[in-house]
Amino acid sequence: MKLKDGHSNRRTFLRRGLWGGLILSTFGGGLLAWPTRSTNITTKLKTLNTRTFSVLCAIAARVVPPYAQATSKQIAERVDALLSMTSPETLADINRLLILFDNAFFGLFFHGHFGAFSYLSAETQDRVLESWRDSHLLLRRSGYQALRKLCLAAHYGDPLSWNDIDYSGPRSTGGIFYNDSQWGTKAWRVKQIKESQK
Amino acid sequence: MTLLDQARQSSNVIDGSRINKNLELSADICVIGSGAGGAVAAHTLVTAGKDVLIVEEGGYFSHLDFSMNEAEVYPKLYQEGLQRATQDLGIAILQGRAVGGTTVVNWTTCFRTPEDVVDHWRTHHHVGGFKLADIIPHYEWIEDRLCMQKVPKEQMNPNNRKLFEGCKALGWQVDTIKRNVYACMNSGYCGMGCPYNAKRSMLVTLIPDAITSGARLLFRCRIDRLVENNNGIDHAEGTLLTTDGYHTRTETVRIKAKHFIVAGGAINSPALLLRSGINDHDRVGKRTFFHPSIVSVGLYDDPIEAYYGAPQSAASHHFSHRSENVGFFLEAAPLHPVLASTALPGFGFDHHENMKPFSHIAPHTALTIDGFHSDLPGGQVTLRPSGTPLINYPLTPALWESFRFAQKRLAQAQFASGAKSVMTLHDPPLVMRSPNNIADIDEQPFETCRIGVFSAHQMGGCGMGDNHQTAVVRSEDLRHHRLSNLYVMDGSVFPTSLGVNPQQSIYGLVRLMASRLVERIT
Repeated sequence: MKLKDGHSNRRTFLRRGLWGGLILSTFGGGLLAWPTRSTNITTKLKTLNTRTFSVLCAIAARVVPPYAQATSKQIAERVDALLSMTSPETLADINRLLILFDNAFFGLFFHGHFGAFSYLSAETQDRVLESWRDSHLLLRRSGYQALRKLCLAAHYGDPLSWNDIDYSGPRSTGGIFYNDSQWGTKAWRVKQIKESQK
Repeated sequence: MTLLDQARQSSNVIDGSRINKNLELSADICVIGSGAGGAVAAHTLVTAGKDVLIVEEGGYFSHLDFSMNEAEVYPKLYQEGLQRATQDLGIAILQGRAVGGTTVVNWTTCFRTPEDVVDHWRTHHHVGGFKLADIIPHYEWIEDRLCMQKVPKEQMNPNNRKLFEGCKALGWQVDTIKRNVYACMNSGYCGMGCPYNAKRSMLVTLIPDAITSGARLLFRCRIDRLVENNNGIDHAEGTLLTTDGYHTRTETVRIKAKHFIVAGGAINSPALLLRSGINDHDRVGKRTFFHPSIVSVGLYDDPIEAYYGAPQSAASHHFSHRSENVGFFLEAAPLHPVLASTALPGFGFDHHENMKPFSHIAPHTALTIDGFHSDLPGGQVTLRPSGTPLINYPLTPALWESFRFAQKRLAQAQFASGAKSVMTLHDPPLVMRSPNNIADIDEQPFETCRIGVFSAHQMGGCGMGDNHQTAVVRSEDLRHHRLSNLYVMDGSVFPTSLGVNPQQSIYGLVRLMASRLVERIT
């Protein structure tokens, strides 16, 4: 079987994974740290640090819909809470990813924009997100998807966002529920037979 | 008061988050996990007079907790708050985590195991310990207890109806399915726990039955390891969790039992064995199967409202068998804002444009049938340094071929049922305006993290079989090949995927094997 365009196999995956790991350890380790546009943080962070929280705010501002009622800071706070349910290793990866995302040298190397993501113009930030999305490196594509999904989940979990998509939300149960306390009793069996005969 | 309410008030139920001392417990049988496998095993054993202790990591909820709001419910009811995925994020994994396990959040679809699958296990994986006929009485019992009924055609929601009509128009096999519901209000929120107590999950049926019959339940407790002694398990060690169910406390638990049944599902069961150093012949965690699935989104003029109505009521197995290629089956998937937003491609304005017709889109999915081809050996569960499961699943060329083929078939069916456009979940997506565009799918990149791939069915990882070098547990009783009092009774024992939604297969097989265990230890 031959596929027409680029397919992934174990070897290419490993090669990309190893290459990505090397990049992460080099650029993400703080060796080439770059100042991040800071965000005023008013709540106690559960999983992110002040720097990665600020980067996430900048990303959230581009990922959630332009008409969102929630601020990017509120989105980032929700993501911070969501991440508390993941493993310590995943959490560490997300923090490293956010530092990498904002790294000016990494940006220059991969998408030709020198400067921390949080300082770029909105239009340039969108081009950067696209470059992560379309990258040949699996690591960058997966990083983009991780951050994108977290921000969107945090946004659309809020009922205030539902109006925009014409979703009226769950219908009230009106307190109705199936009381199964009689299940299996003789009375229940008789009722079953009567209903099946209707 | 419901059966569940009665059970929750029982003194047999212990909330681990409220215990302020180290616990020492003992039982004849300790069942770790309370989902489709654990609940059935516990129920079968306790109703036969055995002393059973069930241990569950997740919380113990009732229909009153199921608010139908994804942001509130997913953290309570799903593994990792619905953020579980393979390491490269290539496959998003939907798996439950609560008393009742995934049965609390599944979409209620019930199938018996196909006969050809059991035949394949016998001929290719040395599964000689039972015949399908042995399971039939257990299927019948569970079908009655869980009120499994075929959905009447008129009750299909528009989402399922479109799939049904599309398949019919093309002459493909399609049928309505069985669901395990009673007095169902067709709210559409099965994936967030049934707010009407209508879904006959383990939470509201066999777990309450088991507790009423004398089983004890310790929830919000994570079993960290099983400790061996003389070719058996001596005891289990665990940690009590906080009320959110995610963070450990300093209080521990030690459980002595004559028999241990591991039933944490296809990811957590192998992870527990690996944490315990039980990995004879390096088989544990291997051959993990997901029914990796892609989605096609049809846009229709008429409202679909895929968030209301029974989430699944139709399925097509027309493409299950594709000789040397990987087969797949077709189902509809429900859609709610969080799930939809993470699945639909794009960001910012583009993403919003994809979300805008939310009430008019029909997501139909193709679930590939993994484990039957040499190029598709499945994934692997290993451990992170913290002991949590790390999941890898190489998406092989055979799978990509199947995805590409399936993507075309889904688009074909959606156009046949009146879709005005069809979108793939590539990022950026391919939007097809007419059937003439379907060939454009060939130009799309089918690569990891360029297209959304999902799994709602996890199987394998502790495969059964009669060859101790290739299988983890024996097929005659699901007992570990070396450890005389350790059993695995959940979906992890399947040597391949099933080609159908797995809950009923787990119920039936586990009830057979738990019945055999009752006979053996009586």
